[in-house]
Amino acid sequence: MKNYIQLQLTPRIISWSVRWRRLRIYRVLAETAAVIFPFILLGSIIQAINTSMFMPQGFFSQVYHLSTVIPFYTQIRDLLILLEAVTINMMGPVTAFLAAKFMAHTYQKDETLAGVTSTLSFFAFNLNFGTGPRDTFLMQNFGYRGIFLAFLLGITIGYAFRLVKRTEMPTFKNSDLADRMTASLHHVLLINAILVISLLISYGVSYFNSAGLIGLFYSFLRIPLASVSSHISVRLALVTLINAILWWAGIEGPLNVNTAFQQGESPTITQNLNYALEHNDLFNVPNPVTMNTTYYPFANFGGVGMMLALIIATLIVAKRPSTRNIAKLSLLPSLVNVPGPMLVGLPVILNPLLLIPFILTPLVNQSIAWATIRLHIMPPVVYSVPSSTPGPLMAFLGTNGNWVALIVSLICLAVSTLIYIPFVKLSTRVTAEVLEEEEKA
Amino acid sequence: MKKHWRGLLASLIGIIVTIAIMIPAMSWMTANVKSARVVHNSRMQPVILIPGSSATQERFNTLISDLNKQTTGHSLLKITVKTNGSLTYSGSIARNDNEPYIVVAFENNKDGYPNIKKQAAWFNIAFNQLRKTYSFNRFRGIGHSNGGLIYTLFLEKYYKADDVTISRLMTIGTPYNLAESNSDNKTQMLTDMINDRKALPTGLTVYSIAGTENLDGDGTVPIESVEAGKYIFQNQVKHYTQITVSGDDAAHSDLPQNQQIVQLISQYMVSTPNQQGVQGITRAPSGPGVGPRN
Repeated sequence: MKNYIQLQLTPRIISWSVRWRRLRIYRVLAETAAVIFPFILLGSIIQAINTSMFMPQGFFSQVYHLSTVIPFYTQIRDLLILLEAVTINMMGPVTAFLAAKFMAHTYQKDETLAGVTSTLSFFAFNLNFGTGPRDTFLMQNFGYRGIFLAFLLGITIGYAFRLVKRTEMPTFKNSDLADRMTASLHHVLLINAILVISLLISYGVSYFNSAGLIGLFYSFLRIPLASVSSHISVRLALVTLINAILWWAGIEGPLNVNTAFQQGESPTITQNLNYALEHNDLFNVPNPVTMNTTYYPFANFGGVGMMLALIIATLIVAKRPSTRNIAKLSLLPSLVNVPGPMLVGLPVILNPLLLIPFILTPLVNQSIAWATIRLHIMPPVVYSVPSSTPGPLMAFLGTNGNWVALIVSLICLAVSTLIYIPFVKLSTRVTAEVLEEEEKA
Repeated sequence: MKKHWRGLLASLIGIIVTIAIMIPAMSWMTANVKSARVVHNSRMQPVILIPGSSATQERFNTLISDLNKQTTGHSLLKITVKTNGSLTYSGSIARNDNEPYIVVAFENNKDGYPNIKKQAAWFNIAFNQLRKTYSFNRFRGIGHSNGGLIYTLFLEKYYKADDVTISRLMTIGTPYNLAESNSDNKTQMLTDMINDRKALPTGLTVYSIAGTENLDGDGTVPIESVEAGKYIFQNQVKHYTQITVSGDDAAHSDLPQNQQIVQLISQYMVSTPNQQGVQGITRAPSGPGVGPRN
């Protein structure tokens, strides 16, 4: 068995991954990610500070009563929200630009023009066709939510530019300004066609969904889960699985710690809470196994896919200083469950090697939580905690200080780290091979 | 060597930061849960009354209409537990009434320690049924005469503090040493109650009211027998207060109608005498049911 893994499977996985990494689309993705990473990192750190320290429901603002400790509290919060708005919440148009630019670049076409067209097309897709007082654009789609479609759009438009001839820009020396202007006009037909098509699609979509193409796309993802399986554990595992795959693909999955906590309390939480408050007993609550008792407190440390475990695994085994730096920079935001820097920076998104542990770790942790709750070793998490609570503390606080819950959390973290380690090692080898081949070439 | 020190320093800082987060987080959470419990618990808190021997569920009608006369009033539910453990109801609890009166009487309402023990078990049946129906987790208790003994036995034997909290208990003319006036001669019942006193809830406030028609007692129960309650409650419950009432209506069976005792009840046992939006009963009850007037 061990021989099979070492001699057969590992080389094959490595060669697949090397081939995947040399795909045109993946190269475009990597280049795009490299450009937006600093903005994602900055935005994520600000988001982490904001949600944990400056939101009234933030973990640190609650525990340390920061609103009375920090001077100019609301003013700082307003500034942080604006900083978030111009970094992480503006990455959609930027991604559209970069993806089209790098795609067109691979065909040696007019990259800047492709990028600009792509950004404008992205804006066209997110026009707000609603009536009454409203923003011109659907701003909610400009952030992480819209990145996946922005990337697809960029790729498509970059590809479309392959169809037209590259214009040779006359050099400054021998040309009039007007020559240069008319040179750009070569593409006027294509650009117009793209923008008109974008607008038409966008207008058509507005009849079905007021949140635009991206809203329509996400509404398809809302699977009626109650009908999938009547058994609650199977249902939960299925949602976790789908969620992980979507996040891996760069799409916001159904399990999002921030929106889940904002949407307020589901009936199962309220029932559990009422029972616990009435009987002072957590073990026998009416809904012991739900997403709120198994997924969020045990399978979401550092954000989706146990990012905290991946960061620890990277810091343990990775050798390249750049990789280690990304992990170090991601550590702080991931402590309050903001996964962005690691998802984009490593990257995890569309990284075939990390897909397996990314799916596996939440499922394994959920099973551990499920088993310990079912065996009455640990009470389910009943009391609500802020979404920015450091992952390993969530269960401990949510059970009002049950030490078994803390131990189970630490076990979950250790198990997840162990799951990630071999894949991080593999990833190191793939990188080495890719570099080697590039050197040969 | 240098690297070794850096690792050590990093883990030391890590531990300090973890502690600096965990301890305040834990105390914050505990305070949160505590206040959530208070908010949750501030809903229904019935006053459950147990009459003495030979008395029926109608025993407290006058008392409650007197109480309601002074206030906007609360509704009244009356239950009789049959010897086979089944319950009969009359009256009802008004919607939104957070502090209804519930009288629990027994088909077998005879005197004597064996009967009192049975009555405590029957009370437990009725109590559990009430909890299931109205899902309250706090209540206050009033026991007249042997009703106080039934309460004491119930609290020692059946009551579970995890499920429900009794914050106050008032016993009126309760003979803790039965008819014995010499506290050196402890009856079997008193001895049992003293032996089991550790099971009594420590957060409880007890008021024991004695009536004195003459210098010996209320004419039925010797004052020494009421005072013997101190051997059970004192130094076990949170507060134990003994009040002696004399004057008009201080005879044993008149005690629930004694105006001073009615005052004490509305002062100590009813936390919201004038609850908004609840229509209690204010007229003198006639016939079996004393329900709300709607």
